[in-house]
Amino acid sequence: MAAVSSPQIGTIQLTRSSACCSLNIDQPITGSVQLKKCKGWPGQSLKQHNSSLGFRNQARRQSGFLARASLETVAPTIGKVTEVGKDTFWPAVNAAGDKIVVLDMYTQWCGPCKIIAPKVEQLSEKYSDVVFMKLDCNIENKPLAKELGVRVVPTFKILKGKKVVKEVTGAKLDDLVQAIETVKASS
Amino acid sequence: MAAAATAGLQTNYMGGLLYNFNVRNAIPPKRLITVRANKVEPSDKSVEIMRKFSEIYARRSGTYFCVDKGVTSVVIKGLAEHKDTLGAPLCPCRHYDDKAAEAQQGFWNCPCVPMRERKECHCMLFLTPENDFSGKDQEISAEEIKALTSNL
Repeated sequence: MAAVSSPQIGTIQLTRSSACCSLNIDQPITGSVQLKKCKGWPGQSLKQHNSSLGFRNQARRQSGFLARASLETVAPTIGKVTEVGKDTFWPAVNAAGDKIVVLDMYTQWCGPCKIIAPKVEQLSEKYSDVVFMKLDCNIENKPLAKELGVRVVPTFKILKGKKVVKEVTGAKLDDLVQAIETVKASS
Repeated sequence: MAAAATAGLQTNYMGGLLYNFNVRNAIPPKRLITVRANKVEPSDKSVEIMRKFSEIYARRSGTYFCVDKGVTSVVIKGLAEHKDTLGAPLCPCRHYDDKAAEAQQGFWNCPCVPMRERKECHCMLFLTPENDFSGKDQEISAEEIKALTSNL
């Protein structure tokens, strides 16, 4: 049986012969949308499944499952420094495509990080063809910090082609500018 | 009844869809809201301890605070935060795989070994007079620290 699209925006009803799940979105979602896998009990049809769940409203059998919309998709913007996390960094790097990516790895209570942050913002306005991001190396983002490798804070990682090609440790603006120019020249 | 059931299932206090918990074999919903790591504030007591330590150590080592006292304030708070969580003022300007082990080991406990041996403080807390960013102060008040970190 084919999928039937309803008049409502974003509503898709899949029949029981397919994935047996339906997705209702009441309003447009700007981030990525993950369809939660809706498994009925083995051997059950959708109708039986809904009955076993005891839905009073049989009309709800069309949409008894949870749509989880993740708003954590981060679109890197030119001209400013985008905050990323462990889940959004690599998608953002992928979205940057062939552009050079500069990542500012900082911690909450690092003094030099606070000094250089506004200067990096200025660099992001100057280098409009470079994507600037920043990562708070807290406990939440620890896996990513470990993956990228950081000891001194701040550390700037410069990525080209989705790989780290250069690194600047410490709040050294001149070294950072030189590193960006070097990577740009080599591309 | 249909409308009520529909309405009830469309709203909850967290803004997501609710399942009917009274139903046998119902699958409890997972949290829809991502809890972000909170910005942590150190205790006033630890801030005061690290403030006094910083003043004493600056005088003892012949170093000075940064011309931008905001840097000094942030680093003092970072030391205080580590003192709260780890029991030792681990350098806040480094990243560690195992903070507890590092605090135990002591190399990066303030004053760290590079500072003690070579007066090198990459946090810019203790600056030698010839450093371009060195100010003239070896004192900082609790009020200054509070004011300069209030917007963080």
